[in-house]
Amino acid sequence: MIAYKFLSAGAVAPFTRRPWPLPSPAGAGPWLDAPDDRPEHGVHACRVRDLAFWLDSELWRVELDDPLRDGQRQIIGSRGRLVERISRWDESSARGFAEACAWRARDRSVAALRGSAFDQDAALLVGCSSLSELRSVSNGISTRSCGLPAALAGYLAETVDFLLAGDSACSTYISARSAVVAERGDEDAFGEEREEQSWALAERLGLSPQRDV
Amino acid sequence: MIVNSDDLSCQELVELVTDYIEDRLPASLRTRFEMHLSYCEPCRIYLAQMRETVTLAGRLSEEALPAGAKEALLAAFRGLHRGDGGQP
Repeated sequence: MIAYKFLSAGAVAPFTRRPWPLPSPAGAGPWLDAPDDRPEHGVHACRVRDLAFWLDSELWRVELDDPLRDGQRQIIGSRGRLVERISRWDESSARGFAEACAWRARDRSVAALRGSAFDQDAALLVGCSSLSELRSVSNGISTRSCGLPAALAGYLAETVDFLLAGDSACSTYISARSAVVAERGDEDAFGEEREEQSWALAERLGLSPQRDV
Repeated sequence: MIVNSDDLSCQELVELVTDYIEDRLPASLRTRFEMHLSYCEPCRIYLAQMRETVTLAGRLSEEALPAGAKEALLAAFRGLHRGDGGQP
């Protein structure tokens, strides 16, 4: 099965620190076996819809070998190999993706402001055209507002803070957390927003539009 | 309390780090642990430091301690239990 895997720089597994053998011009890389026979210790990759849960420096298309098992937001195979690096995923596209997530958080904040009849503040957010402006305006709203609009504006300001500080992955996480706040604490909103982020990322990277991989 | 199957707080991660390093976490919790690491650079650094500490400490033997170090450490631990902060 073809799936996707984020790796740290140098094609290193982010958690085990195992280096993955690289593909050659002739084709896919050598197989990497699971570290042991325990079922949960197989080789992990993910589907398109779960990409946003596993962001890292490099994104690879990988082949997983049978038997396959569904894990939480992952697919687990008995072994795997690198097929092709998704070259469009780099620091610049990571930042672009995080920016798109920040603008989604802005829209969420705007909806809450309008829902509470704070139309003037909503218009201020809608009028933002840069991240620094977005940070400044959302900070102001979070300070002078109250309740849900203030909370969402605060999340938005923090989303932009991390983005401007260069931490794109954390920025997308905070943006997804703001979906939970918007849904009055419904934790399912987090996973749903992460999935929406994943689809948006796949579209940016030109990955398979099929939603079953 | 872990409230989301796709999320884990930094504090929860800190509490679980030893079990993670020793591969004693159930699969679902290990997955949440690793999901957290995917976006949290400070926790990645913390995990790396803990792994380094375990590696370095694992090289120590009782015989390798310099003279007086064992007594000083024992005194410090006894002081810790007495609540005086372990000061000799």
